[in-house]
Amino acid sequence: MPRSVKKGPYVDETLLKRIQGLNDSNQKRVLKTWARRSTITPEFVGHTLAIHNGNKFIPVFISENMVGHKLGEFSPTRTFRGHGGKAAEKSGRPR
Amino acid sequence: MPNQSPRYIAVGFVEKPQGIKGEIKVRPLTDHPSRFSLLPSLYIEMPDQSIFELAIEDFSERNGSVYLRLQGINSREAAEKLRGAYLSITPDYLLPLQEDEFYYFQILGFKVKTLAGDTIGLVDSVMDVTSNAVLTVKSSDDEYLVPVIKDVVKKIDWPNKEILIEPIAGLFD
Repeated sequence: MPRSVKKGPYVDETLLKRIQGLNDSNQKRVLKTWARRSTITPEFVGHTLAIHNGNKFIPVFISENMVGHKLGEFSPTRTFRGHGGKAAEKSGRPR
Repeated sequence: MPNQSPRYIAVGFVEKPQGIKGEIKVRPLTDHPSRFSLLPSLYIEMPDQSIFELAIEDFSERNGSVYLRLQGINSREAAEKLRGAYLSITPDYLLPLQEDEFYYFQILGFKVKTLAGDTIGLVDSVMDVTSNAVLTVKSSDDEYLVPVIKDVVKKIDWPNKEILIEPIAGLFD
């Protein structure tokens, strides 16, 4: 069952305050957080958050299309070691 | 140091046979699963290291998985033998990339340096976390995670096999 609309999305207060602080001072820095259950709001966009996955902090750049999702969705907790170092046709680019 | 130009590049992994007519279910290891429809054949890398080539007879894509019929594989028993095999292509068949794109395997072993010239370590692996790739950089005594974002990764120096980064505050804390 989804969360009641009346309550609004759950956002970790401390994290939101830290992000608003960065926005006010127009700063960029990586913020470490354990708040995996926190919903991503538009204030988060453009920041890089190091989201704890139970073992280490995974640096994740927050983009517009991540708004409404939870932080934990972007920091996988299970290590998929790939296929034994097999070269696969996966590509990337700086976002 | 990993090989920078492997002989074969995996595009799929055979999960299991599908049905009784020799079809196989494949987990795509490529960003473009529909590319199977354009390939004439695939190299089958068996778990026992043997490699052979088979033509693709039929292709379909359902629920994120790819289903293939390969030449000469006409029964469930024959398909069962392919379980655990990698379906690979030669580098000639790699899809062309845009200017700032790279294949993950191409940057393995690259040296990561800051713009100030400090060496961080060597790229050990590349993680895909939906929004951006994350480099796992290993030095002799530590491991760092570097997000592949424009604020951090400033340049990939292909001739010198180096990645120049500008760590933003808090990245290595």
